[in-house]
Amino acid sequence: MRFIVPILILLCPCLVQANDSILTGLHAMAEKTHSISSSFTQEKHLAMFNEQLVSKGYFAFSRPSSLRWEYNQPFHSGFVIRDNEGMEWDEASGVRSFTLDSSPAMAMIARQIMAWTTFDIDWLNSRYDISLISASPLTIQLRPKSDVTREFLEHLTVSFSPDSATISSLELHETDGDFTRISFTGQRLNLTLPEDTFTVSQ
Amino acid sequence: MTYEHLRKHRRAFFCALFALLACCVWFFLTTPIRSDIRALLPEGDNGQLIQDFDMLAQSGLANNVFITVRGRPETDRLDLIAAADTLATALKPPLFRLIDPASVKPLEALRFLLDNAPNLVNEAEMVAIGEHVAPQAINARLRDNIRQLSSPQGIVMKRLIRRDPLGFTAILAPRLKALNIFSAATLADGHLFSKDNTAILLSAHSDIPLTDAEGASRLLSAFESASADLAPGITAEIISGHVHTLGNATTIKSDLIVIAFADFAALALLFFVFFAQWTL
Repeated sequence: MRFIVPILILLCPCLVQANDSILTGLHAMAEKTHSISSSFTQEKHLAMFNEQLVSKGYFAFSRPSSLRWEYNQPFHSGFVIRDNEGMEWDEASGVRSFTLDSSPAMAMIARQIMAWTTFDIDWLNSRYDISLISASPLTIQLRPKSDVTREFLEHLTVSFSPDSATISSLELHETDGDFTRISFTGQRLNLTLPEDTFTVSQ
Repeated sequence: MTYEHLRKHRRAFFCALFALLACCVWFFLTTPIRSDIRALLPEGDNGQLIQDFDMLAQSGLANNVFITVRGRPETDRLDLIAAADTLATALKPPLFRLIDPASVKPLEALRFLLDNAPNLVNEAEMVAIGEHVAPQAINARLRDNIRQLSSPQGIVMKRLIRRDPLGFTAILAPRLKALNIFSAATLADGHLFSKDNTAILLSAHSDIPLTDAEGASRLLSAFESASADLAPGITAEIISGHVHTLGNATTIKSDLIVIAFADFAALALLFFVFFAQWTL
């Protein structure tokens, strides 16, 4: 009986706290990233629908705090943020502007997306318990520390590309069993992004 | 029983009178005294005023206490935060139960509206609901729901969409505009700052009922004691129904004292003027 617990720990890598050197390596790589652009495919597995909701879009980030998150299939919607100001759009309401001060929910969402996609390890460490699931390809799991976040988010699973340079997929597992998988393709790092990437015409 | 009869039995009469007075004094001393200002309020037409007041007291809003911790324009932001935290620590339950700004959930207000919609909708809103259930509107709404569920906000919005797929909340939501008093405030470092960053708003619930004048006195004394220790240049102000309760109770009591003395003086005057015979 006394050997069961150590064996279980060995067989269950998700229980292992993420290795500091791995996190430090990711942090160093993220520090070198000034911009990212990528296409993504998002699958939503929701209990309220028999079928999964699949949508495709485009994502771009540029330091220090510019972000574009856009869906272009099967509908057109998204938002751009540059510093404290942003614009969001959808087919029903058109384009609307907002500030992060006046829209705390959008500020929170933008901060989360930036942290996950750029792997801002300091920010993530302060809000999540990070565990290593697989060393190759590198896969880690993040469990929220905050009770408020835990009310709807059970954990995140982040999988990296074979060279650990970019995130290949992100899974958000909700407390009710629903989950979202976002697969990134065609990532391009540190390219000069077009001027209009973080703007939208009214 | 005539005066002649009483005159013949004066000792018995005075004994009975003193016994009656003693009973009154005993009754007065043993009667529980409440400092609830509700007993002093006028009832209004058909008791409407007192009913409205009772509903306000039961609403849960009446016992809220708001405290503004204000610094000078040159006051350091960290000093202001430290002062607010010190004051919050000094204000202890059950007089003050401080509310963490991070625990405030705006979506709860929408959920409340939705849960109570059948009791809240008026005729104009019923017409709007009719428009919401037209086939085209349902189609557009469900498509918008899928778009919202697919968006990053979907994780947070999902519960609300599941409970209100046709968006009836949107019909009632304009009522919340009147409550949007914090639009100029910002939430930062766990504190609610004024637009100019010179003040922090603390909010609390109190176990002291709004109508308890004695409790209101204790609450305000505790606040004055705690705010006296604030650093120079930083002040605190309280906004609460208890302030008005105590003010009203003080005014009503002083009025009652004046009335009691006037009554006593008038009775004494009557006694001295109309009772001519003083001998036993």
